[in-house]
Amino acid sequence: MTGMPETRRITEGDEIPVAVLRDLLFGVLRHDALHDALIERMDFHARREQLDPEGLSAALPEMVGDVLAVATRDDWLAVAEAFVEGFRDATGEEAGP
Amino acid sequence: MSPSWIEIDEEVLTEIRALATAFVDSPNDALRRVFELDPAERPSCAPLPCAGPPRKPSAPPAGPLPRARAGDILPMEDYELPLLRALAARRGSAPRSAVVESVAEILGDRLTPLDRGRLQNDEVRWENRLGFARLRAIERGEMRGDSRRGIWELTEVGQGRLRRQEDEEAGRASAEAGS
Repeated sequence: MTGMPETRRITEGDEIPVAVLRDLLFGVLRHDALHDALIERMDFHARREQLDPEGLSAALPEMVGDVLAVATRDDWLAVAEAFVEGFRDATGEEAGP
Repeated sequence: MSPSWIEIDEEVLTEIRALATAFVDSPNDALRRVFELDPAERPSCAPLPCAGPPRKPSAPPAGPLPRARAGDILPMEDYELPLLRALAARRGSAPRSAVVESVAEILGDRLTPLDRGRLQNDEVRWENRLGFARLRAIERGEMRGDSRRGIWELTEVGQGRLRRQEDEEAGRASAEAGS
């Protein structure tokens, strides 16, 4: 089988291979912040014999979104500061103000 | 040069992963180094980590991976005490990832190669099973079910079970020493 990987378009000229996108989703859903909630949800539906991928897939975006939605400006700032520090470390830049 | 998709098994993928830098190298980059080829002129393959070749949305869903047979993996009940011990060693409360680390140390070689294998979602099989062992521990009242996200916590019931287990083990050890 030959061919370019299937992609999703993010913006004009910016595409992400589906395999990379799905790897991100797996990584997010395996994270401590979501893993237990996901297992609990599957267990809840399995006990009612209602566990199926179609139903679960409809709930996943909301599960991820709910956690992202509670991140405050301070949380994003803390993350941004760490990345900027990493950038400066890599480029040998002095720490900014 | 257009890329071609090949199927490789988990062992080979693990070897390639070890040679490649996630999100920087593609499997192709890693293998080109192995074969002492010059780097590709332009990237044409998805970088690692990669869940596998893309499936077209219209393609039928892949069937479930073959399930591990009961005797080939650690039974669920064998997770119970290591899980409680791991929590007790961390003063009764710890992030899930830290508990996973401690349980791995406690179980050691009892985890079989199949336990250490990866599932379709790329999760290590025994770590996934540990998540379900936590659920069962919550049902038995040995772990809290209302902990904050990502935090696993031992209850009084769990501590009591551990104490009884330790007393039993101490009793057996002293009986053996006396005989």
